[in-house]
Amino acid sequence: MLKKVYDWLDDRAGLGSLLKHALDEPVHGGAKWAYVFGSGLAVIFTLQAVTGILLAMSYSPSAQQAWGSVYYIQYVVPFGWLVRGLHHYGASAFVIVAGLHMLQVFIWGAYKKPRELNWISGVLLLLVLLGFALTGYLLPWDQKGYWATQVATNIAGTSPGIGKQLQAVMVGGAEYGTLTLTRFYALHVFVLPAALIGLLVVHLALFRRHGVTWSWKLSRDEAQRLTAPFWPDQLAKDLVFCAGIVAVLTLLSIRTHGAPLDAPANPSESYLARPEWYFLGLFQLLKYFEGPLEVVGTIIIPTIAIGFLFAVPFLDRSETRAPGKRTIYMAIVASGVVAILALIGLAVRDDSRNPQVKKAQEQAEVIAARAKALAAKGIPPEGAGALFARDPETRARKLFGERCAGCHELAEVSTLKEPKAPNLTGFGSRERTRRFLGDPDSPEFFGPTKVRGMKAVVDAPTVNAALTFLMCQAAEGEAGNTGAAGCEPDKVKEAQKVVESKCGDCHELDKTGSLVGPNLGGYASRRWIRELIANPGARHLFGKKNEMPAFGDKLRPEELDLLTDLIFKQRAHGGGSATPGPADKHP
Amino acid sequence: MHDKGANDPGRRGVLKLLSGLLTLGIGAAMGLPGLGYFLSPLMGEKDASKGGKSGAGAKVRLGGVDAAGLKVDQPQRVDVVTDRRDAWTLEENVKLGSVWLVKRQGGKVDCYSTVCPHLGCAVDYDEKNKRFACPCHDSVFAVDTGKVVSGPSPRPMDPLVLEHKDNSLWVLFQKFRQGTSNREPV
Repeated sequence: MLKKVYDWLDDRAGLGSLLKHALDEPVHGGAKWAYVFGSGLAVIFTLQAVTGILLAMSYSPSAQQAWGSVYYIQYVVPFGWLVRGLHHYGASAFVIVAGLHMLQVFIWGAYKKPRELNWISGVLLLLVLLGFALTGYLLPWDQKGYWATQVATNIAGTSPGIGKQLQAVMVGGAEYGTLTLTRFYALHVFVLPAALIGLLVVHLALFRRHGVTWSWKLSRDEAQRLTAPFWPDQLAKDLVFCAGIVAVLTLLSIRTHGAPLDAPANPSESYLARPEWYFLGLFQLLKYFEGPLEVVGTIIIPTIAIGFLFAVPFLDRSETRAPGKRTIYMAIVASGVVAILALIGLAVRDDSRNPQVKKAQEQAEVIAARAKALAAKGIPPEGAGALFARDPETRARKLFGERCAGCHELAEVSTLKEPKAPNLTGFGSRERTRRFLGDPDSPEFFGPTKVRGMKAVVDAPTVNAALTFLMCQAAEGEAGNTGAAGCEPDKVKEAQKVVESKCGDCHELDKTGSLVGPNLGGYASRRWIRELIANPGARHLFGKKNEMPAFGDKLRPEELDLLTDLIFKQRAHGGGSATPGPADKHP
Repeated sequence: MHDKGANDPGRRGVLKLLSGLLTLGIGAAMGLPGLGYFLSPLMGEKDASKGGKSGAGAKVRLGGVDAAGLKVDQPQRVDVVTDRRDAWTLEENVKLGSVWLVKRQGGKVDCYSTVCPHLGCAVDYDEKNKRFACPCHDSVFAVDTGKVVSGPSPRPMDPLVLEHKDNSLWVLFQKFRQGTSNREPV
């Protein structure tokens, strides 16, 4: 039956001779591992096409929807993470294998007459590949892609003469937005694939016309004698290599569960942009050329490099293909490869040595995780950018940044060179309270303020009683919290007696009062925090010693609630000091 | 030299077998995730946010309706407003459609879909003749039972399950196939 179908197809379409033509290509000089890279690229191309089409089924190229759709692919669609991971790592594999393929061709001298056009079409394919990488990076519309691609289009903007116009055409206007995304998307899924396929047809046709370039060590006769058929001798080697690539890509995708997704692009929030690793060399180059010389790094050096690649078949016209006799060209290419790798290495090293970069990356991860947690509940129709605008915690942090961060430090929100008020990281937690009791005038607490002067609490029984009492005050007004573990009424009462006798000269515990220290009844409860923010100079709080502005009439009630909640939740922070200082000496 | 026995048919056979297996492996590694992704609509809903299995409908609270305030045998149209999940987007307070509520003698409330079972137009209430009427193809339904009085509708109006809970009315909002005499959820 199968045979009949095959015969019918063979008769009508010449299937047999087509297959024979494809597979029986003579490999002069014999099958070699050195020739596997071309097939590797073919398989990666297929992989990128298949996964790309699948991704396009769930992707939505608009500034409002793109991030959400990629989130959906990554975390909701079955196998979405794997398809996306393969596409992501496939892009890197494309660049690496293309580099290896070019190196092999170069070392073999396979660009020489009559194969100049093979080489030139190959260089064009490389440029198309880099175009794919550049346009694809933006599509998730996350912080990383958004800011890194800005750098790329700004580079285009430095082109002499036509920079401004070139940039506007790439960006689709003056500013980044949906039109940038639709433009990049159209390039990524229509223009570049068409260019790639067109060039690939030419590249392969030329390859079949001229055949494989055998080793420079073989004479024509030897190469003829050693000829092996493509199928199965070469193809088996090719397939081993291809299977290896696919296996590595699959393993990488599984290991990282797909590809990374940063927080949604936010034009108002600066971000430490780094390009994908294969552009890091170019990125590093920019550090060495500043001001009017910038164009050297952005345009001139890359143009010379690409120009050299196009020109090399016409520069190196000697008969011989032996690398030892083409030392100048070998040296140029070798130093080029070393330079690119070294620049990438330097870029990575610079970043790993820069604590600010590390901090920015950690912060970006926190924000990204928050964005994903919010997105799981559904993304508002106005887009992923609105996720945070609606999020109370984010709004509270922002509010803190605007209103409190001038004086107070808070982990992940504010760090100051010279804090003017206590660090609020971990406020209300046992750890921080313990540190506070041991050294209330440390720079972490009241050191920089007029409230300074509280006696440190050092003897263990008092510290323990104070901690027990204070820790249980925050339960005030919290449903189901009274009498929680460690806060049994008897225990609290007992601790309260100790606190009254040891601290009672300055602190009252009845929620009103006028002694010099703040009233400790309901300490660090929502009510207490809210009152403190609203009117810290109240008689039952800091009284005359207070320097903090009263926010009761500066903030709306809802904003007061947000800030109160932010500070109240600090107890869960664990109380680690944001700025390790003298306070840490106290156990 | 390097190609000793290269022409040995046994060796070529092994290479062919190896090539076949590798091709299968590569194809599977690329194809299976892709197939799973492409055919994912056939798998059960991963998140219940889309309202669970299709056809099951979703329970929606009818806001602003006071069951005690309904007049007996006087149909009232009520909008069904709820959050709608479309892929990654969550739209809040979207009007999904509307229903007819009819209070009976004795206090029981009946609920009908406003979608005409014939071809899906919106069924109106004909105040003058005290009956439901579809303006598109003149299907007419009885107010007391929802049964077809005249016109092309193949079945009575579609009743929806109503529930009293927490001082509110909740409707199990479903859609049904049109044009069939059997009532089939979609």
